[in-house]
Amino acid sequence: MSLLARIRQLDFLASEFLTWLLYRCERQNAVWKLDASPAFELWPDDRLRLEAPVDGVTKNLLSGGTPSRTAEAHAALATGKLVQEARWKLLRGEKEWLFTMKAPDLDLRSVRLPELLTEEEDDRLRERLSLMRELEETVELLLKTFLELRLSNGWTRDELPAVSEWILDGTPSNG
Amino acid sequence: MGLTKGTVSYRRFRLQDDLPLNSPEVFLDSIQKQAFRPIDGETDEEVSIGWVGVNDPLNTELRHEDLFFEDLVLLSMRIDKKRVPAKILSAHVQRAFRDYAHENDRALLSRSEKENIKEMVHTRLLRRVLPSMATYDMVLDLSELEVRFWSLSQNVCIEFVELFGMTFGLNLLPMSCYGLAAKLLDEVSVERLANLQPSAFVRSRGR
Repeated sequence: MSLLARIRQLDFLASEFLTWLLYRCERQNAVWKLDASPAFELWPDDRLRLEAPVDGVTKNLLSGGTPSRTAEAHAALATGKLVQEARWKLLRGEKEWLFTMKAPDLDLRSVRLPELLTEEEDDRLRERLSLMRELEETVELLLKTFLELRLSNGWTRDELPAVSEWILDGTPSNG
Repeated sequence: MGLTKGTVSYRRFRLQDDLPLNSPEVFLDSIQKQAFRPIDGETDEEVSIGWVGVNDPLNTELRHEDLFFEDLVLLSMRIDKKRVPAKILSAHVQRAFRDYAHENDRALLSRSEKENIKEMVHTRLLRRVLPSMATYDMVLDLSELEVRFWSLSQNVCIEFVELFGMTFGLNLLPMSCYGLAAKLLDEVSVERLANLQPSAFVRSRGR
């Protein structure tokens, strides 16, 4: 199999990851404590796009406020749509990042880095790169957690039913 | 917005090959060989792609102190493109067809004559056009064997991967779900991921 085919083969996991992330952020009240890493907060910000994974044509683009908590978002999820794009806010200590991730590439887009503390040009570059690395490491930690869970028996036994409950509990007909 | 200021949007790549144990001089030489060269105005060249200094698109004399920063190599890919606007080309071509037909006392021109005239007009106009210029920053992290590239355009990323390969003789793997999984998990787990089927996130209640 070509490298491109192998890359494409895992594309579907990107939207599953973003959807799972949305669910966990809500369930955990945005607080994450993973491995030995210090706790951090991650929650969905003001932009959310959901798409049906099969046709990819029908989509819901929600923006402003906290779209992940709206009945529209849950209704879209209840019809089988998954998160294709979301803007997130990450808090680590005093530092705050805003960034967007899209499926299937999971590139970091429109990243607003925390306020820089340094003045010298070289120091600022060093600090910017270090802040980018910190964000990348956080995303990698989240993705690793998801992928390991996705490969485990716990995915279909516990996690997937819990995500399903969360989606259905939030749809308009379920209040 | 690029490497040094503003919001950032970038694609990450991982080196698929080990870094050759070259001296910095050899490394620098490889970069200089692919430094940006302006489009030759006397030819019908339309595109030129190469490396320039970060924050200085005119800096093509790339020196060690311009590029190396601790374990990082900082560069910008510059793309210059010349393009004759379609409407201007069309107008000049139509006039050239009429002039040629008149000079040769012909009512109709053959397809090959038309193609030759169009090519000549295009080349003549191209020499008068100023190129557009775009630059895209990149950081090669020599310790992590990763690259950050400041563009998400598919076409620009393809050009970048090609230039990077020509310069360093190294292949890049985009850090999409597959690339990240290959970094974060062992080989067996990545193979197992490839065998997964998409999950149904919504099940009817009571199942």
